Amino acid sequence: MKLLARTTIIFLLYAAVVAAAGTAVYYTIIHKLYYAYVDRTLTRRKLRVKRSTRLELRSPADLAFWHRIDHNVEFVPFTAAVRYPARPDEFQDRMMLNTITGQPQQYRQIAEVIWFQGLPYRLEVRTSVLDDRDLLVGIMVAGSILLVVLLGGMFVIQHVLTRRYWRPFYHTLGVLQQHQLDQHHAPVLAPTTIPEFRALNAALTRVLARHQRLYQRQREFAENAAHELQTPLAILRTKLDLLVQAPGLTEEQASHIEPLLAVTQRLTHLCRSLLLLVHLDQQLYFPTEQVDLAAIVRTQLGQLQEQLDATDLTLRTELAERVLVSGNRSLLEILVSNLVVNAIRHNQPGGFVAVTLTPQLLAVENSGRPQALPADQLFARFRPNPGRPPGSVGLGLPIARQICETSGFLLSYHYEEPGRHALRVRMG
Amino acid sequence: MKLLIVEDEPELLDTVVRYLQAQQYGCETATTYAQAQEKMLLYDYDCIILDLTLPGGDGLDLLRALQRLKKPAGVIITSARAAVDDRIAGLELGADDYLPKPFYLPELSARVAALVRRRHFQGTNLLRVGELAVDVPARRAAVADRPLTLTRTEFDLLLLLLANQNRVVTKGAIAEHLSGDAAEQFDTFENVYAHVKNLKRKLTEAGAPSYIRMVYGLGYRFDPDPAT
Repeated sequence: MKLLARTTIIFLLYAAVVAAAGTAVYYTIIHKLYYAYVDRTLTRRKLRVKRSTRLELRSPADLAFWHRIDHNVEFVPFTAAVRYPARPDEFQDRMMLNTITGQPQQYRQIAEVIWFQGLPYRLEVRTSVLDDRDLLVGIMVAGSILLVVLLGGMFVIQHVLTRRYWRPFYHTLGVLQQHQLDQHHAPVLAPTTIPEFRALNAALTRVLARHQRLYQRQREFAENAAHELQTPLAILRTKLDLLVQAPGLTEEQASHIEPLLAVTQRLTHLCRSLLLLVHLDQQLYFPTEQVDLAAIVRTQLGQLQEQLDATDLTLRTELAERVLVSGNRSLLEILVSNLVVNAIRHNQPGGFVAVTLTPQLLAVENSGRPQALPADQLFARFRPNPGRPPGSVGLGLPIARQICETSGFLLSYHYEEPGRHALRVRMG
Repeated sequence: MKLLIVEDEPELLDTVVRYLQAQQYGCETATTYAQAQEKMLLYDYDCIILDLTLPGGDGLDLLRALQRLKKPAGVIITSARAAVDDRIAGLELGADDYLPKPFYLPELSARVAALVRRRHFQGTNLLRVGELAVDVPARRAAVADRPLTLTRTEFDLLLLLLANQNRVVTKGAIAEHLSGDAAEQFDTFENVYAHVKNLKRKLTEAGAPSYIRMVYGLGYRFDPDPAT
């Protein structure tokens, strides 16, 4: 759930709780205040009535007369049925019929026993009060309107302000998402007045700049290493090419030169492999595109046809027509080549190499030793292997594995039948 | 044919010049960016061999300059950097070929010959050596008008040898020329022996003299004048 939605929901819940509790509290307080006021008023009026009866009234007929004029003052003579008030001042709520409106109405009444001309009377002084229910409804309606206005306003303001204040964040987020390592400049983050985002942008810019510098340095290192390694090899190879042109070359001299040529070949291959590993290890940026892996497999198999014919191996293929993957074309060519070359090399005369390709899987299988190879060591660099044929430097599979990692594929070794080794690349 | 070789490593430059001069190419050299820039702009060459890792500037900038000035020279870029984007960038900028270091001299020579042929002899392009006639674009060869049926590999092998006549071409150079990088990983050159043997057989069967000779197990040489 987005941040804005989260905070809004919490706001709403809090507001709802506060509104409900507030309504209850408000109602209780109003109720108490109101009734306190009413009771005070009734008590004063009762005192006045009592004084009036002492001073102004002459006969019981005056008492009845007063009640007829003011229905809210009543002198009830005591009979056996009339109850004595439990306390001197007794308050009571009564529902009585309002004669003018014809509707039942809530009254508050105070009662006391008074003596008039030697006879006890129950004096009741009443006043109509706001119906409890009406009071509550009134308060709730007012409260709800207030709540809605408050929440609505809060909501709108929050949305508007949040969008404005979070804009630098979304801008920075967008820039980061677009960021690619091989661009030659660090990304530019928009200036902002909000201190938190300013701090964030400053920290991010530092990190990105450092990252960029590091990447550049590593890339330069890889390139310089390549140059330093390849140049002497180039001199070596070309000088040997010249040397063999010597007109008076003897057979003995040739016998020394031939291993020199072979060793230079090996060194060259070793250097190329190591440099590739350096590139892959440092995760230098490799441009990717949509590549047809089936076409690459076919091309590589075509190029290795010579070797296959020379080594008396049978090639079996089951290739899908077209398999599109996202990756770096050169790396994928090297991957396929390494896997197939490995299958050809570590094989037995009269054996087979089987290549299968589906949109999810590339499998290269070969006949070979009747024991499983140690899977954990298989991809170790320069793995000591007495059975390694000449010309192999022991980097083919490690490079294949690194390429798979860089491309997001999974490379695994399987030994399912005796004498049948399989390397499987799982894509996607 | 006039070539410009741009290379900052003096030993390498010396070797390449010597080899190509022996192939009857006129060679000029440049060892720095400034020198290369000057020569490229002042003179016209048939082919420029350009090292991308030059001191004083990026070789790709020279390529751009050549493109801008619409110079007719074909460009082969060499580079020790082994960066994948170099090749793509170079070819996109109009280079005709890319040869990573370390390379074989016969390979370089063959590429120069191919480039010069493409640029100068569009259409008919006939190589003649004695009675051997090779029509390169049509990929046909004949000895005294008797056509040879050569496989693709055998034809490529013949072109390599013809581009390096009187030179010993090592087995490694042949193997790399025929099957690219994959060949590097195999030490035995059985297939090289086989292809050369087949080519020699077809040539002699068509009545050609034995142009191709093995040299002490190191490699082979095409002798246009076998009688001597």
